[in-house]
Amino acid sequence: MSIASVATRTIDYPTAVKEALQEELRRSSDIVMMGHYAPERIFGLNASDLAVEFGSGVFQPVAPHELSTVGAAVGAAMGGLRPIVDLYMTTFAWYAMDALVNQAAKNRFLTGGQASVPAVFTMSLVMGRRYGAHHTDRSYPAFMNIPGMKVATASTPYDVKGLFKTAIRDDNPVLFYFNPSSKSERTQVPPDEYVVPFGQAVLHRTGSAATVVSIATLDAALTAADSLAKEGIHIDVVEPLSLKPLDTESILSSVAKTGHLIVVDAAHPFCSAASEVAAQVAEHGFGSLRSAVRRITAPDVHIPFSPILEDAVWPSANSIINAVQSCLGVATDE
Amino acid sequence: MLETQPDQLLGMFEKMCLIRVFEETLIDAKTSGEFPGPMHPAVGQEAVYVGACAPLTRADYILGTHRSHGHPIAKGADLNRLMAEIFGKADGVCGGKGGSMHLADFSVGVMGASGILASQVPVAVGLALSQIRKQTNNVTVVFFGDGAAQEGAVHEAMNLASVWRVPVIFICENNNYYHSVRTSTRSSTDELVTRASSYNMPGAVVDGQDVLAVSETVSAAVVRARNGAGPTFVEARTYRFLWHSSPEPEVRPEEELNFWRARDPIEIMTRRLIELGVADSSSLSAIQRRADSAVAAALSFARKGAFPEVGELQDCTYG
Repeated sequence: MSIASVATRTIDYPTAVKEALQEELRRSSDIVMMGHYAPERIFGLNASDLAVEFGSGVFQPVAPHELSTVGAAVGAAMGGLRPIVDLYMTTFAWYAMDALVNQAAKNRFLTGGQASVPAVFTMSLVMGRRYGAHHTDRSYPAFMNIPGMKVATASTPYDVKGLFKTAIRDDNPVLFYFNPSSKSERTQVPPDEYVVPFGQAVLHRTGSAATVVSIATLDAALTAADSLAKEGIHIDVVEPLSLKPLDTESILSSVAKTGHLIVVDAAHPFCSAASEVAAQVAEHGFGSLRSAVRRITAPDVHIPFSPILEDAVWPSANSIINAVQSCLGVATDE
Repeated sequence: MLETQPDQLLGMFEKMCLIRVFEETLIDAKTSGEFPGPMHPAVGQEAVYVGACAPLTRADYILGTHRSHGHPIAKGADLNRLMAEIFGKADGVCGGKGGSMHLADFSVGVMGASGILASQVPVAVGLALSQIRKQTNNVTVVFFGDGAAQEGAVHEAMNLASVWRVPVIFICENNNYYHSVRTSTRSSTDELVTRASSYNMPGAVVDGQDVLAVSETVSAAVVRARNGAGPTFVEARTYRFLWHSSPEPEVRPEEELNFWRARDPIEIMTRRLIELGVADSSSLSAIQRRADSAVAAALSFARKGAFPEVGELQDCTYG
């Protein structure tokens, strides 16, 4: 696990993403970016100045036709390019399922290793924005179940910059979810290039009372951790970053220290990323557990529009606090 | 008339013979239970496969379908390793991991084949994009059937290829059927070539039983593509002499079957070669025998090869 250390610049999440792109574009002339809006609106930022530095050809124009955008990205990657495709919102990827699963994920394997698909597909997680059921999906658990894919998400500027660079350099298809935290955490980046590797979780808070693994729910997890800390209860907040490959070792070593595991995941409960973490700890860290693993997820319903209803579905800081206290046998506010 | 050298003409004839014997040999082997999984014989369609690949170089790419034993053969892939792959052997082109529907040999530009209708068509557009962005003069030829032509992926890919102006040639192998369903009963048009103009690209329809006609038509499309003029859609009208996958009661009308069987592409080319004075029946028989031997050798190679180790299962998932 790593904790941000020597750093000299404070940047925000979109700037971090853009710097990652810029640095990788300087490294490789094979990168080609695709997104069906203008370059002023891609990857959650205004990337038009990348066209100034690298030429307008660095953007390959596509319209909303996700199945063929993804399929073509696979072909481009097989032909030696390194496409980075912004699908904009998680939900738009469903159109491309055949290309993602039957082409991107499978081609290396079924060609016996002849094909390589070094493509990155980015999506923003949309939560709490009152966009309604179509726009508010969290698809990463579905893709974690497909062999040959890598899946990652980051919440802070430091992590997203380094992790996105790793995704771009990876020779496998990567699904990368943008999900900026609204907290001012890990906003400082070093002056020199750095990467955050896959398979390496980040420890946001440290303590021995309980382990909270946070997937796409950093705000709630940190609010809970900081509130508990005021009561003298200090917890580990572990964010996996790459979901596949998963840094099981860091999670297990945290649970070995704390004995209690709460997995907080913005996805729905069945076969969520939380389910996988829980299963892995149950299999490999059973002896460390002093209470049953708990998952806190969105419920098994679609995301409603009315704010009262939507606000009720996302894992809350209170639900995490209650879960921790319950593990510790402390009276809760439930 | 195509300016084709005699050896090229004979080469096309030989490749059609190879495909025919390869398929017939596999059908016999399948009947005796010698290899696992389904196969989809291309008997009757050889002229489309060979004619479309004739204008291509080793560096050009092709992508195929579930019925794609013949495409790699036409492109010059190693017969032994193709057969071994179909038998699931370690020496197969994909290490036994792909099988009949996923034959790929990147060393001769055979970039794979898809078991899912039309799934390969957008991929072809991307391969063609890589060819122009890397400033080669190479092209990509993608094969798909009339059933697959109903998938959204084909429409999207044609649109995208046109927007990007990439060097991809869409070869629609219209054999009138997908499985046992007559496609025209479930398609808005019989004449798939008419869709080309909707996507702002030239379309051509060609007699898919005439390897020279196919070669000439595709050659023109290849030249356009190499010159930066973008994609072309070619509808090759052909016929599947045998079944979709495994022998089953024939539902297609007798007259139709007879009509098409009288248009055997190998017989048509035989007559043409003799007419042109390029060969006589005894030299063509010699070529046929050579094809028979090559396939027999491939069968022997496939039979003798070892299966892959189970320990290799995890290989090639990630790189």
